[in-house]
Amino acid sequence: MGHKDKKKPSKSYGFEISEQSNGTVLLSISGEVNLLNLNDLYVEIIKLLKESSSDQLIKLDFSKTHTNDSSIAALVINLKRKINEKAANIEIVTLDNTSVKLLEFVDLNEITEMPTPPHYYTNPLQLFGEHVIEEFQEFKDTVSFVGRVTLEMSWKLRHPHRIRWGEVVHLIQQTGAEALPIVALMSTLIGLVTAFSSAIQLRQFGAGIYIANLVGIGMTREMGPLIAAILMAGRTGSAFAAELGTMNISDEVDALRVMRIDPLDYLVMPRLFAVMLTLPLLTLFADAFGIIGGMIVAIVGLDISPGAFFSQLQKSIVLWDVFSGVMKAFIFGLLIAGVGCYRGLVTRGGAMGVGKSTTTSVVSGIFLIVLADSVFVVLFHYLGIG
Amino acid sequence: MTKNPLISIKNLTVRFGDNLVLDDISFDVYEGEIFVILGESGCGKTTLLRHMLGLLPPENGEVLIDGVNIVKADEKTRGKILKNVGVLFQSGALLKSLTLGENIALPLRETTKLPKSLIDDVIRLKLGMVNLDKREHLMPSEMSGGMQKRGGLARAIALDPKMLFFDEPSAGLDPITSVELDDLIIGLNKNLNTTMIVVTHELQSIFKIAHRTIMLDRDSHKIVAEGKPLEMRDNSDNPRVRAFFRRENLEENQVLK
Repeated sequence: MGHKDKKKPSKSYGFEISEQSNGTVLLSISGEVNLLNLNDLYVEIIKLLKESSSDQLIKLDFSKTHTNDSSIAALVINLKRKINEKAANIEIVTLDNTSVKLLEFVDLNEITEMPTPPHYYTNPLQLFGEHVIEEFQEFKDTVSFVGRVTLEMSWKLRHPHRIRWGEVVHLIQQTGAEALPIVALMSTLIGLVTAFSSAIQLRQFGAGIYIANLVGIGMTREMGPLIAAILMAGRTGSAFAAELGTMNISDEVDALRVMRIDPLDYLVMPRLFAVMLTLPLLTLFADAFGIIGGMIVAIVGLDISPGAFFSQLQKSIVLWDVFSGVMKAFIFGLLIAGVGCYRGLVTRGGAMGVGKSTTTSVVSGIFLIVLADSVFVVLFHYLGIG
Repeated sequence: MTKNPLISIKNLTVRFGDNLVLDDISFDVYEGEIFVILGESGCGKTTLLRHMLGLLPPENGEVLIDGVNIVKADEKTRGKILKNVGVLFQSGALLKSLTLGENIALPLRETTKLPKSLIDDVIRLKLGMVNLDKREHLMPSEMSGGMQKRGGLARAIALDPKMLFFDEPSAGLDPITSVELDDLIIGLNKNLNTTMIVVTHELQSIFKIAHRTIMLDRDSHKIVAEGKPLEMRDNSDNPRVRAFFRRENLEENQVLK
């Protein structure tokens, strides 16, 4: 029913055109005008304007209309703007009482003027310049954040009793223990998929047993740390950004500052330590489950006994493989927690700002993980330990 | 009232991007004063307060608290200044992850060596002062806006600071609580000689508590009037200032034309 009303409003107003002797057209509108049928009236007036010649004066008389809303007032503002822009030769003779009263609240000349929109650079060169300056500023902020974090952290490591261990333990529970199921599931599946897609190739050469080498080295060196870190960035980095961001926009961070509690010490440090302790452990966990995934393929698909798989695994991986993965995880943890907290603390602009910070924290978190991983590969290679 | 300024703002200019917010503002706040910063919505009152606390860097100018410029101060000096400062933010700004009691305990735990039992007693005292007795176990999310604000005040006065900053203390409070808050402000000022800097536009509250006020102007971004509120209401030669204090519509006459 409402649908019908919207499509075809009852034409409750009358529309009467009379030409006067001096060429002036008098348009007399009567009856009820409201926001539902205003469009029809507007269309008719515009049509009339188009049909008339430019020097012909059109007089509008609203004295016989009545309205209970701001429809005519809005129409008046619209026509008034057209008059001001010399786009129409109209004169509004009389208005109905409601609209007169409504328009008393405002300054008609003021609101018919379009506000000048805020100034944006449109020249691509200027835009580029703006962007460069912005990025440079952000780079400076990031560097200063990293510097302050490094100083604070080295101080904390020299004074371990000043670390907020209670908070750290609570965060480890949140970021580590609660992430175990998803890390286990993801790494088992990835181990399974990796092993499965290579099993077909290896079997052709009768080299099925090397599945243990492949999964073992692949998981401990690369896949394990990466799976754990990417999940950590998605689960925890984003949570840090959202939590600290919300605290920031609701003045809680400023409240800490004026209470002489450094947010870096109170909020950032426990999170950094928690993630740096948790991620290496999660990595070991991911390593183990990834290898189990590979073993399942070996047993089911390649008829290799668990004993043979493990003895081959033992021959193929050395302690360094596992250790290098754990070491990487340590650095990944620092990056994830650092980015999450940094994004949270620079959040501006309400709920949307929090959303943006959360997204950025995940995206740059994962980017930094992959970047750092590439650096590690090159570094290990040149140090002759890869 | 002694005559040495406790806080001295000199030529403060604040700009957000291209937007000028405060233009070359200077004023002094004396020890033991209740100083009210007022003005229409959006004239930069809260921004001024944030700059007085050194939370935002101004484009230009100095904020001297106890003779030290907080704008250029390093972390350590700023900490020394803030030791004497308590702030009630507009929303109360209680940490949502802690209970009310833990929120008030926070500054006490972090900056004093008081034992837990004494801290608990200080919490009870401060909660009693803001009429939130026995509510220390509530989480901020379980409290109404007005309660959060009073909780924020209890936290701000936890260390009995020399200076208290209030950002719209009575906004969102019912009239009775508002009056109690005004009485608390006056009481703290009288008994502890606490200097109060209050940002507000609640007229009744201004007339009741203010020793001296400045009024900021939204269009010129400057101070348009300074003095005692009653004198400003009766004798100001600025129609806008008179209209503000008399709660009149400046444009009323224009509309009738």
